[in-house]
Amino acid sequence: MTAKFSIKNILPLVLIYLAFVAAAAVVHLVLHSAGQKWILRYLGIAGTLLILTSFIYSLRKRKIISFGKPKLLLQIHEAMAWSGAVLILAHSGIDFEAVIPRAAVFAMLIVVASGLTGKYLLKNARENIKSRRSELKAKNLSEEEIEKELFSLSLLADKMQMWRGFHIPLTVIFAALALLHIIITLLFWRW
Amino acid sequence: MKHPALISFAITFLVGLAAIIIFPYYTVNPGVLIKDHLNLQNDCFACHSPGQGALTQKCIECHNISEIGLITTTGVKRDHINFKSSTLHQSIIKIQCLDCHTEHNGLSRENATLNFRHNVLPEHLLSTCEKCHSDKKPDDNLHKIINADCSNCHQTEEWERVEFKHELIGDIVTDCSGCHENKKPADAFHNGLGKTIQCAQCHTTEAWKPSTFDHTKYFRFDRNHPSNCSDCHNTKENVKTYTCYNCHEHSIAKIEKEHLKEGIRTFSNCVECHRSGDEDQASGKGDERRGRD
Repeated sequence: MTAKFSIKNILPLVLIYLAFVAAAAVVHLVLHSAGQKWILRYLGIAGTLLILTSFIYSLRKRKIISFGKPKLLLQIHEAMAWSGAVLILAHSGIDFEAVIPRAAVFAMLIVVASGLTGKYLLKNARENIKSRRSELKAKNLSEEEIEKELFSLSLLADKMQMWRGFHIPLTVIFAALALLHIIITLLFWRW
Repeated sequence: MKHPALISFAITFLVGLAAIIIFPYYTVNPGVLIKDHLNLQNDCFACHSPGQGALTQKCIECHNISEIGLITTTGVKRDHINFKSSTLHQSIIKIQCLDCHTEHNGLSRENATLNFRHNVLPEHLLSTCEKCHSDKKPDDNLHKIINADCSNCHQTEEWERVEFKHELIGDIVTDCSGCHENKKPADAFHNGLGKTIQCAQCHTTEAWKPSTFDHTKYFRFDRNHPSNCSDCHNTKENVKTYTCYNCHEHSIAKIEKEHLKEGIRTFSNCVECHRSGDEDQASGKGDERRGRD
């Protein structure tokens, strides 16, 4: 399987990343200018919950749970992780000082970029196996079975496997740093 | 490597934890402490209690409330007693230090009191601003003549939003031009009032507009006598003068003839008898004159 480099596929993902940073900046600035800076603190909690919920896809993919269509859950994972990351980036703002939360945000920025890279690889892989659709159709398989087969094949692509080797460790690094930040906040903050 | 994710997580977490324990100030503090607290920068628990934040009990271990402004935390008597701080802290009770104070906002002490709100003060301090802000009274003419407390006009949360009460300036309240020198309207009416007329004769400080001036007391307007000033007041410099001889109906000869026919010889001041355009509503002064004549 060969993945062709395509500007047409990359450009939307670059725009999604820029939109992610811009959305966080807008949320942060709007709350700041409205004198509602305190809300930013709680956006960190909301963003974390969104990202944690998005991992239902990972549980489904590892067959820990059995409900939900993987393709739909992947889309939900992308949307919720993106939204959660927006809230966390808005929460972090530009005035944080400490190394741990700063490193956590930096890791999150990389994870979001990595996630979009995975999206790009997946799309490319799916385009490359499009040609196999007709072959499967010739076998008289139903449309649903063909979709399932193509989706499974795209996930099994070698480059996707290699990408997972980066994306998952990066995600757990982000998770570890975020967890430290949460523990420290619970320890020192007056709730 | 069987569980790379788990190993990545464990390594990151442990390295991060070690960094927090060794360099707490650089790894977890959300902002710079004030200059006087820099000695505490690596001792988070000097101020914080686990799960409870910075408690008042921790603050007053060093900052004895009765000594604030008078004696330093090291027990040395201050060269310059801070009466403002002393009065303030000894007057407020039942609030937590963090209700007014904050930390991690920079080196400046000013940043440490950003949460202060005047509503924590007792009533007697709220109505005596000068106790704390004696040096803040403006040096302008208005503030020089007012002896009342600032709180009569100003509010603590929005100082610039002033509800000025004219009665505070006493007897000179009728001398409007003393403060509002350039506020006199430049229209023909006000220009023609002459220098002896004071604003307060028609306007009140309670509600400047509408004025209490009522033209019907002198002459009532109607369809044939509209409120066009220059029709009657042809001397712009003084609206106290007027003439009724500006229209075809009121020629000098005609007016003279009609009044003399009634035996009225003194009729130069029309509005003395005619307070409207209805000649039947003329007051009795003409009759009195006729009787005298």
